[in-house]
Amino acid sequence: MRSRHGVVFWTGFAVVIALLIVAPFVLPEFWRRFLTEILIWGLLAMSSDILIGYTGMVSFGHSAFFGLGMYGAAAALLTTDPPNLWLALFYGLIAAAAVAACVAYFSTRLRDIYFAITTLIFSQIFYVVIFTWTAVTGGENGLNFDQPALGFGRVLSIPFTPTILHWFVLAVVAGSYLLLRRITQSPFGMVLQSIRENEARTRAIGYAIERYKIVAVMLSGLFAGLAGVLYAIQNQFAAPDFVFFLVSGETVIYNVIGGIGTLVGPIVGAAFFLLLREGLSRFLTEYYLISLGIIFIAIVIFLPQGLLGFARRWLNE
Amino acid sequence: MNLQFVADGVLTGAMIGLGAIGVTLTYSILRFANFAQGEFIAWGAYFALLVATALGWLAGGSSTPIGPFSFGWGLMLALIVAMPLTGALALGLDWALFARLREQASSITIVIASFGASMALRSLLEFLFTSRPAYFTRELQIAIRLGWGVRATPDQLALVGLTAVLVLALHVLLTRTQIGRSMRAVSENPALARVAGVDVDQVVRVTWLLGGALACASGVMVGLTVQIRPFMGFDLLLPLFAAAILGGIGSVPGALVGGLIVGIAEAAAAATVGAQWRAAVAFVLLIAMLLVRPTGLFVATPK
Repeated sequence: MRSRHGVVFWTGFAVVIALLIVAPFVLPEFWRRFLTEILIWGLLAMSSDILIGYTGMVSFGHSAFFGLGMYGAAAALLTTDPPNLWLALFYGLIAAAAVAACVAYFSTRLRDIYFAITTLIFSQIFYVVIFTWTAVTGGENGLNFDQPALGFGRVLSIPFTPTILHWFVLAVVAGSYLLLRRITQSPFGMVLQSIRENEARTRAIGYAIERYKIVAVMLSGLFAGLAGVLYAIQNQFAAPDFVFFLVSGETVIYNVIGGIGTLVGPIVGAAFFLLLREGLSRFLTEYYLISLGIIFIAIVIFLPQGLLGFARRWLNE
Repeated sequence: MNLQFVADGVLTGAMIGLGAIGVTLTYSILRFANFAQGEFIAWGAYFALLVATALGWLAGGSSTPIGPFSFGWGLMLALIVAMPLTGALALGLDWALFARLREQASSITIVIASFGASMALRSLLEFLFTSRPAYFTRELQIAIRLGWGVRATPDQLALVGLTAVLVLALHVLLTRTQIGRSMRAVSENPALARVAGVDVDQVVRVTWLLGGALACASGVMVGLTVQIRPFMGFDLLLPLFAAAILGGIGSVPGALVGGLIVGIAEAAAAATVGAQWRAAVAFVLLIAMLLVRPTGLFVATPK
């Protein structure tokens, strides 16, 4: 039974990855770019699922990790010549990890709504700092920089075309997915899920739940920062808007739409939400948010387990 | 040092406090953080604007200001009409959305649903009234000297007075009436309150009505002293949460005091380190508070 489940999973995984690999050859320029962007937002949503779905903590501060990853990458790309991809990744992850450590240290002392609001407040503090500290961050205008090349030492250096960038993003997101999936199935991931189910009992068994929560927030922040670095590389700019708490809100929305605690669900949710927004904004120009809000509310009411939970139940019947 | 920032802060704090009372009531009765509370503020202001315009049109320009104030009887009537209207909006949102989720959904889902509702409500306002700012009145006011170098306009003084009256009335309602006792019972323990014969559905309805009405008053205050925009409530949302948590979630006096602290801290920051750091100061204050006393000023820490 177990092995059959594994076969089904790996077949599905391989099919989806294969489809995403050939997608750039089929899609026109705009949608190719859009697909890459969906993968990046999906990675951000997936990182947040570690907290929402597996540990039972709702973070409204993921924009801070995402944004700091972005500005970290910007710092690396602006200071080195020629811009170096790996240095951008390294700086971005360091920046996100530093912020995540700070947020985790303070916010994990609190629970439920207090945790959510503390993460939200932290992200807003970073937003105000980035917005105001114009000399370093460029303030409201943000920072522009050149795209690095996909280089491997001095041997090989491939400039990023949209297709190669898509494959690179796909590789990073797929790798992150497999890694996060492995982590959620590990003993560490089991402890996180037991914190979600019953915090007091987990503590009583003898786990230092504060330490587990801090690691969970840092892990989540690290992957959110990774998404930020990818976004910076794709769009060649960093702007304070991405640190604003609306981005965090949308991240949570992707999770709820797609189905929390599934890792894939948030990516599906991001794809659904972004496609819907794109479609609606073409039809309804600037007032698309009215219908977007209503559709979103309808999903919450009628599909409380998200699209993936609904699909799963539908397939089982 | 000039004490002007205290006067400015008290006024902002009063507006934030009124809105925060709605947040704190919703949280203590329904157990979720309502992101749409800011939208009630904006809708309340637009309701009042509509009613005031209609009244002025009916009476053929009766909006001559009373005494030293910049507003006339029209606006006061409009406020009285708009407060229940905003309450009805909150009730309607509960009926359409939150009531359906309350039974089966987790609190995360409800919070997110309120996020979606706030998005839809805000865009609807923008659609109906465009994003161009509107004003209740275009009268200019001369500030009066209050001593120690502090000045305030008559409007500002009247609004602080209005806040005091509203909060006092709410306090009496919560402590001296049957429905107030029922509300406190539900906030302590909903299951036990239901068993003891408290009509929980009625408590929920009254909570939404009160939260909406106070948000409307807050919106009219913002509209009178600043301007009316579809985003006016959204911009106040984080200060509302900060105030509700500072004072201690579930505490009505706490929400007002929290609002005043946030307002004065923001004004003090604007006067000393610069207006661009205003928002950050309230947040830093809040984080410090959460670390020292997570339950807030007015709620006892559980032993």
